[in-house]
Amino acid sequence: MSNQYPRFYIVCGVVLICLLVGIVFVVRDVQHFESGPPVDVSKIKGPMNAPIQIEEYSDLQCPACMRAHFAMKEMMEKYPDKIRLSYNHFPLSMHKWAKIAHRYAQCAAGQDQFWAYHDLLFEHQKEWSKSSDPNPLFLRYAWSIDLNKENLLTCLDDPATMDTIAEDVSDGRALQVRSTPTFYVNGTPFVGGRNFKERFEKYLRKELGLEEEK
Amino acid sequence: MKYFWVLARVCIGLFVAYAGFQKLIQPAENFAAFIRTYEMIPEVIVMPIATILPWLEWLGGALLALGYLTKYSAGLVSILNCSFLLVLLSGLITGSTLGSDCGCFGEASPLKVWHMLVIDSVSFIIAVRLAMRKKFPFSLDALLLKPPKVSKSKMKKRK
Repeated sequence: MSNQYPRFYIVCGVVLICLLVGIVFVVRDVQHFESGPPVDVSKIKGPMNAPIQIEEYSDLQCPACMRAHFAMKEMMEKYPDKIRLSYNHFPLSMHKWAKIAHRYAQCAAGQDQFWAYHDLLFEHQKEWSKSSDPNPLFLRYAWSIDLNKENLLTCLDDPATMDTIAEDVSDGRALQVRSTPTFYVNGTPFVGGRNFKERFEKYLRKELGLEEEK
Repeated sequence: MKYFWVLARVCIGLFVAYAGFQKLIQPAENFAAFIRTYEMIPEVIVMPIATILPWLEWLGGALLALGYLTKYSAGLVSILNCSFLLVLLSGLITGSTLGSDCGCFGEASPLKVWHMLVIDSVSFIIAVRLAMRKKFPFSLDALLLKPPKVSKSKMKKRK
């Protein structure tokens, strides 16, 4: 190659490639954001000093998020006191009822019933996703966990509810969340529901210093 | 026709470079999740592919657009396009790209699978043709590999 190309040509190429690589690292550096401390305590579960701290960004109407939710639930039961999970709303515009589902979930959080309502929404996802009007179903789920009717209806109309959801979304975007579900496990991203359980458990056991299961 | 190939080279190069750059400035896990939706790729190689492929796209595309090592960068881009086409087609055949997961990656890119099939096919054909060409006007190759000018007196001496 050195016979075929003059030295100047090769030097220019090396400089060019260094520049191209440098641009990527500079942009990556500029785009680096740190997530702020989660404010809404009602959307957090697990002990504060747990060795595994997770930030979850998921869409309640996303089937992959539902699969990841069940896997995460299993992991939290399998490794109690080891995981602290913080939930962040990330409704995608492609899912018709996602925004309204997140609104109900956020209102349940206002009554300290976020996780119960969140679990119900994932358990019945197929039912309300296909519905032409999911509101009666959402209300039925709310009554089943004894949410206060008046407070719920007021909260649903409150613009602050949507603002909280929008804040979660913008935090997620700042953390480069592009699809759901995305988990930041001790800062390491886990994206997508496929093979989530296997990937997550492998990482978890490594972090906890446990031997691999055979 | 000369200008068509210049324009085609720059456009395809920029398109491929942009695709790679967008992946590079995000965590590799985002692209890995996209790869996982095509169930054919074993888990062991998902992360290495998600890490290396965007660099190949970015460097190959940028070098093609600038016209440096044009023949080789066009070859690299055509190989990348060919592999994307195969993955997209097999995904369509097996149904793994038809939103069976959640289609949640749709927000990252507004392009649908069939859009990408058309773009990759056109890009592949042009990249192959570019790799077969000998001259690349308005490129760094043309600028840096210009044969040295021989003065008239030297020409006469040679004669």
